[in-house]
Amino acid sequence: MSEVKVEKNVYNRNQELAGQNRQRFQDAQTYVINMVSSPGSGKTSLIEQMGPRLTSAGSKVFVIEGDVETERDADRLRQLGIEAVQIQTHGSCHLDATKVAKVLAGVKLEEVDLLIIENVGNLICPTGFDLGEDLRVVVASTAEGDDKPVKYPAAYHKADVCILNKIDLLGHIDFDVQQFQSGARRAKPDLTIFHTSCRTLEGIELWCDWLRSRCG
Amino acid sequence: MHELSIAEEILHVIEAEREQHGFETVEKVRLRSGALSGVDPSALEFAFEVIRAGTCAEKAELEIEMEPMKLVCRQCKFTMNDNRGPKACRQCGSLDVEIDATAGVDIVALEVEE
Repeated sequence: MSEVKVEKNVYNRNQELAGQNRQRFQDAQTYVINMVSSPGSGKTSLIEQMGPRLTSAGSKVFVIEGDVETERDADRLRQLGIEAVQIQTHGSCHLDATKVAKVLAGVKLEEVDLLIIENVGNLICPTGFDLGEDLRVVVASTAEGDDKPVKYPAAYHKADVCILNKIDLLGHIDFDVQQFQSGARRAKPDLTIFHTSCRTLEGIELWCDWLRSRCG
Repeated sequence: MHELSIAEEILHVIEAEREQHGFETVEKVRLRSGALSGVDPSALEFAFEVIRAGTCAEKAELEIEMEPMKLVCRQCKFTMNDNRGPKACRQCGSLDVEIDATAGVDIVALEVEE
């Protein structure tokens, strides 16, 4: 028996493909965000609010929806006039750089200013898969409990921004905002945190303004 | 169940190494898993068992070294070996502590039969 030294990260190949995606996004001057969360945190509802606000005469938004099954989320967005394409993973729990590249083959990225990728609802599996995005956004909802960042630190460690959604439920449930924020910042000290509600629209403009300033 | 994607990638790397080094079979795969990798060792072993059939790694065993979760105090740089326990630094009491761990999974080495 002999030993072969390897020292290779299993994410290397995805990382290379993500690099190619990133180059394509840069060439097309498209700003890309990757939204990850557990199922039901309100990612699609947030995009329903973001789409119209971030679309203007000179700025086009395009959405990639990732789900295990159905076109439901892409349909929801199209009904609002937001251009969207659905990736159905048929069992796989995350998007990867290849799946994103494939679905983008038919998209005129040069016309897209902001590409929003809604990942499959899952706080573990999407974490290690870079898609070529500029900004990773982890969405949490108050209904999930304030201990999510401590239980799932990797999702927060890899994020640039955290959106705490369903903030209108505070007062009806036991959720300690301080506890949540300290857990999130333990995983990522410089994490930018927004509070939003898609029902009362609290915080939506602030988040959209911030994002607009980032994608120019 | 991203363990299946990871298992597929392990096989891919094994095949690439085999082309380069020309060994017959792989007996053991040594892995290092970061504390933030979210890898469940038994799920990874199961996924690998399923997909290794008919390959040169058909009988290969996975040896997974799990990196411990560490906390580092951003004020005094003291390191603690547990994320679940203390909220404050045990040395200086600061609450400004940060997780120090990686999310990667590395294939360290293969034990092979020529």
